Amino acid sequence: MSSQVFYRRWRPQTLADIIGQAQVTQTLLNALRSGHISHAYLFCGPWGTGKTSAGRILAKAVNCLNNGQGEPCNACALCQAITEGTALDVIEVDAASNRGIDEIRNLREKVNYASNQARYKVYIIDEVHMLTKEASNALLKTLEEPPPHIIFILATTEAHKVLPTILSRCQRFDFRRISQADVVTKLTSICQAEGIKIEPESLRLIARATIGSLRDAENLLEQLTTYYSAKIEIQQVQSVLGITDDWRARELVSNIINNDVSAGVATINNVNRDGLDLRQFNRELVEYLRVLLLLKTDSADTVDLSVEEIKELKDLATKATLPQILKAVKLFGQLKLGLDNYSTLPLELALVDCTLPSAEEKPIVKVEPEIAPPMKKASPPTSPPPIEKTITEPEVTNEPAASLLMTQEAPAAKRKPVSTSKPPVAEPTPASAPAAGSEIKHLQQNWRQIIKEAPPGISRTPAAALLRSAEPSAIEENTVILSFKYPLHKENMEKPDNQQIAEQIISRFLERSCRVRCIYKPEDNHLVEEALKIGAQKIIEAEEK
Amino acid sequence: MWQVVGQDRVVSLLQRSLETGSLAHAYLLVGSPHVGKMTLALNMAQALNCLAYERPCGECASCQKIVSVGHSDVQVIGRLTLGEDLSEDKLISTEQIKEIQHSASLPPFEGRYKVFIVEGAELLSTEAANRMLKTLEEPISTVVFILLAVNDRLMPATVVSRCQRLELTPMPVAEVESTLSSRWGIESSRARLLARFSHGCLGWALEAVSDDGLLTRRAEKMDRLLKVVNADYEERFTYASQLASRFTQNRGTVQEILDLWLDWWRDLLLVWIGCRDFITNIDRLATLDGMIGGYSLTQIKAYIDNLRAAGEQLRQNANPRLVLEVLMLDMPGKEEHRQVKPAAQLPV
Repeated sequence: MSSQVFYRRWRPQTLADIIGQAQVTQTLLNALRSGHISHAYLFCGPWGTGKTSAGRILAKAVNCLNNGQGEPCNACALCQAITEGTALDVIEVDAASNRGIDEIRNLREKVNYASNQARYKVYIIDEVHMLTKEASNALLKTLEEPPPHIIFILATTEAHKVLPTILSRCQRFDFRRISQADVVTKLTSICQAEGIKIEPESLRLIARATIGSLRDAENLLEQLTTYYSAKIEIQQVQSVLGITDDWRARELVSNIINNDVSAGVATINNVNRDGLDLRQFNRELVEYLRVLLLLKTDSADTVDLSVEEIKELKDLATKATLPQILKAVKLFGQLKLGLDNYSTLPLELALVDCTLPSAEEKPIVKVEPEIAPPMKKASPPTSPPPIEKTITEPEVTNEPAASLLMTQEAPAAKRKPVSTSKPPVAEPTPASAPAAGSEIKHLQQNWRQIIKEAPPGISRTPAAALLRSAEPSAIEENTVILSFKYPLHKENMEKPDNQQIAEQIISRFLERSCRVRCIYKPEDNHLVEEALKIGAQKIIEAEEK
Repeated sequence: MWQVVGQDRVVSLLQRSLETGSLAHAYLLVGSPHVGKMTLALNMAQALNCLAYERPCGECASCQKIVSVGHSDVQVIGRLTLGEDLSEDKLISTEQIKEIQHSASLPPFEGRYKVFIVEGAELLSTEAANRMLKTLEEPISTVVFILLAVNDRLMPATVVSRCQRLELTPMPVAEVESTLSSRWGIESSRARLLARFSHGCLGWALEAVSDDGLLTRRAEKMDRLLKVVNADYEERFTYASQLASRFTQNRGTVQEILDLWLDWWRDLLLVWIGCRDFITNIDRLATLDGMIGGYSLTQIKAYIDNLRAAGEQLRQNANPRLVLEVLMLDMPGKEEHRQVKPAAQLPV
């Protein structure tokens, strides 16, 4: 290879060169100056933060022929040999490839020999987390008390995998993720040395994309320079990083607000077609929706946008409803685009979800036509379901038992037959109905408590036990309806003795005399429901008659 | 001549670095299956070792050897095939990496560079990946690593950060279509169909061109799936158990069917919304039109969610039979239709 990649060419050669790790470099420098060099170091931290580099610099610093008490000179024969990797006394061990006990035994044997030219023999054991347990243990004694001319430097990205006994024998240095500003400084100096013209803003973009790993940032910069040679525009950086100009995200947001699904799908597919990164696009979209949310809630002080943009956003914000924006933020924010990278499906689904009216927000009948217009063909299938429902419900109410089943499922459905006299269904039903409704709720919530607090003579009767397995499902004037999951329980409860006690308990709670009626309601088992849908017949009903 | 089509950005980047001599020692090519990763990797190997002036020429002895996998300095490492039933090893083992490491410490034998192509780099076992780290970071100057991966998020970040990461994005469908007809001389209607089916991965389309069976098999699977939609539960369950038994032998085929199914329901969704431009199965537009009448948007969306969930569960080793049966149960059938149909036929 005629030239090395940036991260090798620009590997720091002095402690001062290592950026963003002041806590490490300063400590090491002080140790070197005072001559208090430990015999074992452990460098740990995320990838691309300078662990291996620090190890090599330390090896040079302790052995440097010119200085030896501080920064390495990088000029003497020994420093240069170490930089080139030809020094006999600095041994770099790849612990991931030499992870067995035999390799460590071998190493231990050689540790005892004196160093060749240098003052110290330095072992740099990289990827030390991959050592097997036995190998680590074999190293323990040597690591604790090596011969005086030996220094161990262990480096790893995963300190939690290293044995605690190893950890406690080393001076541990934690390398941090490098801050954006530091990465930019380093990249700027590389650019100057390489003669690359690039705006600071672009460097900031690179730094942000590589989350604190200098090696990643250098790789990206190199990729940019090979592609665009020595002059790099910010648009080029954006295109390499897959950042869209934010008008596309804005377009999709307005599509969402306008409930225009087909235009939204077109936007998403165009983004994909142009080879933009969908994950990045989604990130921008969420960010944009967030700003919209802030504007909508009048907390836009923190928004960092130009006046025109804010004005445009405000127009959108006035058009949108808060639940709509919230829903969109949630749906797109939760999206996982990790596994199927290039499929637009997750985004499309979220979009459809956003525009699909949820039952709580608006009545189904009212909104369905809003979606339907774009395509005339498909509109017929949408309207039937609500109509069907309204037809079936009155039919069902003819059968008393079935109507009781309905009451639990949907309070609205229960009220309908009651309030038929009043035309507007949405208006509050007569005063008695809500009272009954709240009473039943009250009863349901305190059910266990009621049975528990029954008078001592009653609480231990079979009736109380039966009541525990029942559930109050409705109150009709003075009759409380109990539903049972098993027919046997229901039959037992219907015995006069039991019924009397049950009535006593309930009347005591409701503070008025009540009667009890029992019904049998099989459990809401989705398998049973599914079976019923397929066409299975209920056998129990036949028995009841 | 670079053989890869539709990856102009990546190719020009590599071309430039070849010209300026600033080639990296490790590359990571990320992209969907059939997008052209291997083709590009082999091209790079050719370019590095080509004897002609304009590299890669594709004609010199060295280039020819590399294409026929006979070059002693170009090694392709992937999952090993075990035995006769073509089942594959699940991961790339340390043994294979050990061999690379040894080989990477030696200078090239006949070419200028030693090139190691690791296919399916996300399948490196943890141990193997760690073993590679040091070699991957600082190999000797005549060694180039090319790692190929579908999803680099499954790889250790330490490996990814040592490579130049190049992403191969799928081509726009329209471009696949035009390439197929202009470069391979495929008639336009067929090209259009193949382009849609390929999802922008030219490799798939080309495979379908050379192997007619691929398309027929796809059509057969699709027919079967469509039959299941209208079938009663008994048939659906039979189908589920068939699929499940196939899953135990080969996971890939069932995932493939699920993907096919997912495509279909996505098409339904798009047709429902009125975006006909982006659908995959353009050859069955009539069927799609006929089908959407039976479903609401909510139903379609719910079923797509179910399909995706099922795929995820299968990946996580759920009981395949159970997953598939639930999938069949959840399928928004045409219950109303089925009940209505006999009644409608009676008067006739």
